[in-house]
Amino acid sequence: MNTIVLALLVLVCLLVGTYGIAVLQQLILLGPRRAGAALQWPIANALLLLRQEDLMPRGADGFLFRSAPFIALAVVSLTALVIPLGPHLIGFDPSIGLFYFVVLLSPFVVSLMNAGWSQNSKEGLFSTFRAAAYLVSYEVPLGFAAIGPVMAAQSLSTQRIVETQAGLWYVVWQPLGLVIYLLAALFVTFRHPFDSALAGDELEGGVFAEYSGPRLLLFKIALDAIFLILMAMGVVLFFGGWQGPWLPGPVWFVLKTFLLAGIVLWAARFLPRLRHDQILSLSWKILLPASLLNITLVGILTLFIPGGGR
Amino acid sequence: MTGILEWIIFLALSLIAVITAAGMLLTMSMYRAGLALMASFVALAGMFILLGADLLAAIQIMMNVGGMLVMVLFMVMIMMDPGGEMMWSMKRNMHIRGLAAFSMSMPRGKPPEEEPSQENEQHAAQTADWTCPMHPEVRQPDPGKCPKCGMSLIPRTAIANGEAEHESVTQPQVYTCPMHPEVPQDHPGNCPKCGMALIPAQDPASAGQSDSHEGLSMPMHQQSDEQDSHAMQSGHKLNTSHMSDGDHEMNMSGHDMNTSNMSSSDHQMQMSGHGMTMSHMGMTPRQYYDMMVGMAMSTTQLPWAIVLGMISALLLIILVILTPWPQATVGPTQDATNAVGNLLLSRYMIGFEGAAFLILAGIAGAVILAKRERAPVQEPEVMGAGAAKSSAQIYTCPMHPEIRQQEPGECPRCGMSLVPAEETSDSGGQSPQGGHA
Repeated sequence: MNTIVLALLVLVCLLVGTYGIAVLQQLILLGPRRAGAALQWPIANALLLLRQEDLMPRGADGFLFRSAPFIALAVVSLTALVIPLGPHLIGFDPSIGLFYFVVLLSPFVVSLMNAGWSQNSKEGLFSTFRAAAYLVSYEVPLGFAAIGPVMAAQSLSTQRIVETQAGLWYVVWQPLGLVIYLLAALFVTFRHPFDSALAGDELEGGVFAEYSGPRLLLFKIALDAIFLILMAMGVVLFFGGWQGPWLPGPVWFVLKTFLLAGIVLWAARFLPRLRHDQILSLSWKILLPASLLNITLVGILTLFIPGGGR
Repeated sequence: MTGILEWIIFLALSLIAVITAAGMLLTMSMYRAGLALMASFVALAGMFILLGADLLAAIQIMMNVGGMLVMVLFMVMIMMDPGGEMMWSMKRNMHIRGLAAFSMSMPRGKPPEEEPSQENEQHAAQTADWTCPMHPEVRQPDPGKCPKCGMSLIPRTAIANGEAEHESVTQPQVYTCPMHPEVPQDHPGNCPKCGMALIPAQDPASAGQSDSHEGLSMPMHQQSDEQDSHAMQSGHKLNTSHMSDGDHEMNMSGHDMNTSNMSSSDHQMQMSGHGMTMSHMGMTPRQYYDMMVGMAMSTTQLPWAIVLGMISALLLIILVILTPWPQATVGPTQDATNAVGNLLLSRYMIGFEGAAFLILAGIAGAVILAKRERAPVQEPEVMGAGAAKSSAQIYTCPMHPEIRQQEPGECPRCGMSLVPAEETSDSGGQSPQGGHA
């Protein structure tokens, strides 16, 4: 029974955090930049989508079309399990937490592919192809960027990674890793500079072209939630997780996560939107060699930094 | 409490694994099949997590989900019918109900008898005399020029069973793919699109004739008999509209072959159109049966193969139960690797051997109980000597495909030199009329 309560708690935390991300987006990206409006807007939007009719296009693969949003949200909730909010405040702490997290990013793309394929439209199919091509090209830099903290902490457990950062955050001596991680995170979540898979302009929203109502709401929640999860994991990997003076751990963790999310959302606005071939060449020609370089640097620095190579 | 929860999760996961594995075999959509396999592997990964083997579970998900994803992607890009819609529609049109509707199953019952098309063809070849493409009333026993218009005469065949008014010219034997009727060839071989063996598109005369004693339910347009006379008058256009009113894609392609086989006179056009419509892309029941056998995902021997597999699986389980378990309480000691090796050798080897035996039994079953009902591959000579003879020598105009002659020469309409008919019939598949709607 404990397990079920824990799972529900993680889900509630995820949903509340997603609401926070939606508010943050409202403040930073969409406007108006008034706190009152920003707090109301996500709820109003959710209510609007809940009232909408749930349409399915003719000739759609019904089972895949209906199940895709649920798969997306389920996968995101599963990744949320390994995020440590505080010491021993974690849904599921396997010894390979980080690997589990990276692995579960690909089923998320599977759900997007299902949605794009099953809706019987060209936009969805193009979007499907792009999403799958991106999956292969961002998973490698993301994994390599995450290897830096793992090498320093000598553990794949997310809790252990946070604990080893008590003295010095990894961002101090792995800034390259952080940059690669954040770019890859924007990639994973199909956010602004890398949003051509879900392109609103050219593909009518791509995967979401034919979705409406509650299912679209589920998809939007899943997209915001996975952004939140990636930012939280960024805090775990590079910013010392719950570590901090005066305040209790979870508060620090939440503060850091939303600060990082805000900075990323704000900074991403200044990046130009990339064509998808440019995205792929950025991934393979720049991010991948840079992440290998990062691993080399971290390997050398681990030997010299006190407490780095425990 | 945790134990019960674990049991529930285990049961759910195993149920998912088995159901999705079965779904992979039974679905016709390749996308769904790939996805079902993925789901099955993910359920297995869930069981690994239950066993405490987290790393194995993560690797299982990473390898299989990524692999299946790429596989699905390539299937969607390359394969002809990744959604299985065409197969489903054929299935629907054949009105197959029950469990058989989940896969392309073997047609039931005995194969229909071979068509007497050989005799027909030979008879037709014997009684062939010569007529003008523009003036069908001109008849001569020998080839030559038409006394009215001076065109070269073409052979005319009389139909054997008294349908004297249905007169047809020996058509070149056209081979086509059962799945891609827009692929016409004048020689047997494999389809350039999907690699299936080509089947002969039946000569219109014998196809119309064979209609009465068909053994299988074939979606046909019986009304075409009444439309004979209209088709004769208005020719090609009426034929086209008549074709397109059917609800299967197959008819479109029938039209396609129609244009590629187009003959010079309205009369002949009507005949070929008639044949195509009548016999559902120009196949006799026998050929239709052969096509269904060729496309079947299962055979009538499938139950036997299943029984064989069940017996070997039972043997495997008995073997695993009967061999003594080694002590499982061994902790991580210096000797752990040795213990694992011994475990593998003593016990799991039986499992591996048994699985190999199972696979071998499956292969043997597939080979031994292969599709026996498949008709022997018919050589073009067998299919009709007269047809083969005439197909070798058909010449046509590059600009006027309706011009067909036995010998090279000049086109009576435009004066261009004629070319062998294969080229034009090949390009006929890509003609604008040929595209699927």
